[in-house]
Amino acid sequence: MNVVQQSEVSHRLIQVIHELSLARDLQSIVDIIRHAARELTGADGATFVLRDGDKCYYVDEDAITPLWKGLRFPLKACVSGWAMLNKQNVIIPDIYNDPRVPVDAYKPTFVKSMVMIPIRKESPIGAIGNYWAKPHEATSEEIKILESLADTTAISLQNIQLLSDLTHQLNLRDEFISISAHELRTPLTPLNLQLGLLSKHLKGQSPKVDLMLDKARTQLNDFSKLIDNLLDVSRIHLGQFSHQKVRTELCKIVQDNVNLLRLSSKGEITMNCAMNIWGEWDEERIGQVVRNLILNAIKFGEGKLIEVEVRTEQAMAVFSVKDHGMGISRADQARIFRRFERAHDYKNFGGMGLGLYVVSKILEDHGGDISVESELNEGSTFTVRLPITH
Amino acid sequence: MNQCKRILIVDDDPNIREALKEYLEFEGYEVRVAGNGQEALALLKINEKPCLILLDLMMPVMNGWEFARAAALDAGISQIPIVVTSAFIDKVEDIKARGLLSKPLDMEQLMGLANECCPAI
Repeated sequence: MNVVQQSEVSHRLIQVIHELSLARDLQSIVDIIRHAARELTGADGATFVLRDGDKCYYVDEDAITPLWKGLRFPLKACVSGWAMLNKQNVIIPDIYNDPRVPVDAYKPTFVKSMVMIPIRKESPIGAIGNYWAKPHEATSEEIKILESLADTTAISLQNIQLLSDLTHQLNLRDEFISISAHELRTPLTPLNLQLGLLSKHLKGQSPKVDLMLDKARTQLNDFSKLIDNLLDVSRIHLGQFSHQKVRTELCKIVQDNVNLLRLSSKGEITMNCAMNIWGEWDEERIGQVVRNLILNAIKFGEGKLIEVEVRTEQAMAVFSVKDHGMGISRADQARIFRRFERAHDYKNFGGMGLGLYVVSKILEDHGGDISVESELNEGSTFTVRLPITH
Repeated sequence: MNQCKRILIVDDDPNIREALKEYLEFEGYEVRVAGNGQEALALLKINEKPCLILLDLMMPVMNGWEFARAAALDAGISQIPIVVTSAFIDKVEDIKARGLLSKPLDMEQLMGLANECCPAI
């Protein structure tokens, strides 16, 4: 092989490795390899074989005339099977002079000589073959090229297997979330009704009982919200997360929720609204965003002042919730909007790590976004930006 | 319309049927229950008509969507207002409902709708 040829080969090999790095399914890998295997050695045919139990499966080929594409043979009855079972390269300069070749299968084809290289030599999962229409003894260069193709193919095949396993596991997880959310929700309705009924029977009989009933109702509502969060997550995943946008006013949504949550906060919550801001938003969902951010500020704000502000900024409606609590480290700031992530240790602060994920999805659906600024031990400011549509 | 305060609950969950029945009876309503759409249609044919049907959607034998279609075709039933009570109010689609209540039910909303559909005599 001269210098020019060598540089062409390495150029093509680099290209193959790049293409393989982008391949996400078996067919793409097969397509890349069958063409490359033939081009790189200048052979008259190349074939891609996978082991399928005790069979060799001739997945695809690139050859001057058809070979065995789509067929399966017993491992013991074909050359690729021999290469896989013996974990060795097979070099056959003349097919009529080698006992490993089932000559009858080759007679109708152009093949006079061949090589077969196992994929993942230590425990073969397939093989790459080259064929010539005349007697030819494969050179050590040709073998090396095919071996390096086989090595990269092994890695690519393993990667797509891992990807497929991972996707399967993620689907199982999401299915589990969806089923558990629905199952957990089912008994809530009768429980809620029984509690309502109980409170109708007992209300006003003693202040202590009234307080217990109120607490039970609050806890039931909290529980219900947690399950709603889980349901939202499964809806987001299934693409069923829908919004009903109507013309609505932001200050009112924020103020209503501040009023609702004021009693839950140890520290003062101030509200500053420069002006009324109208837009096309889903009132319930934006309310959910506001509640989430204020509840987080209460949870992590160490009972100190919480400042809520609504304003406009370059044709965007903006609201921010600022606390003076423990803050979030730089590293954690990047994670908290992702699913199942939390900035603070679960042992100290409960919750499923879903709130901000759902919040960011709601805002994404509205064409808006959320960001955080925070310093450890000084507090956090969450800022939401929503487009004002007319 | 009926001068009644009679409500029909259609829900396959016996816990919900029972608790809802007790709650509404406490509020002074006469309550009948059905475990699916087919049972509900049978009850509606032989008994006096209610002023409101509380309809769950996901039920065996005849689900809420099928019941609503059948009810709309029956002149004797089609006038009775339906309130859908379901965990899936986003899938109500073509049911002509007076109201949609997501489970777990907000009882204040439910009582508001019940008062509207079944005014006091």
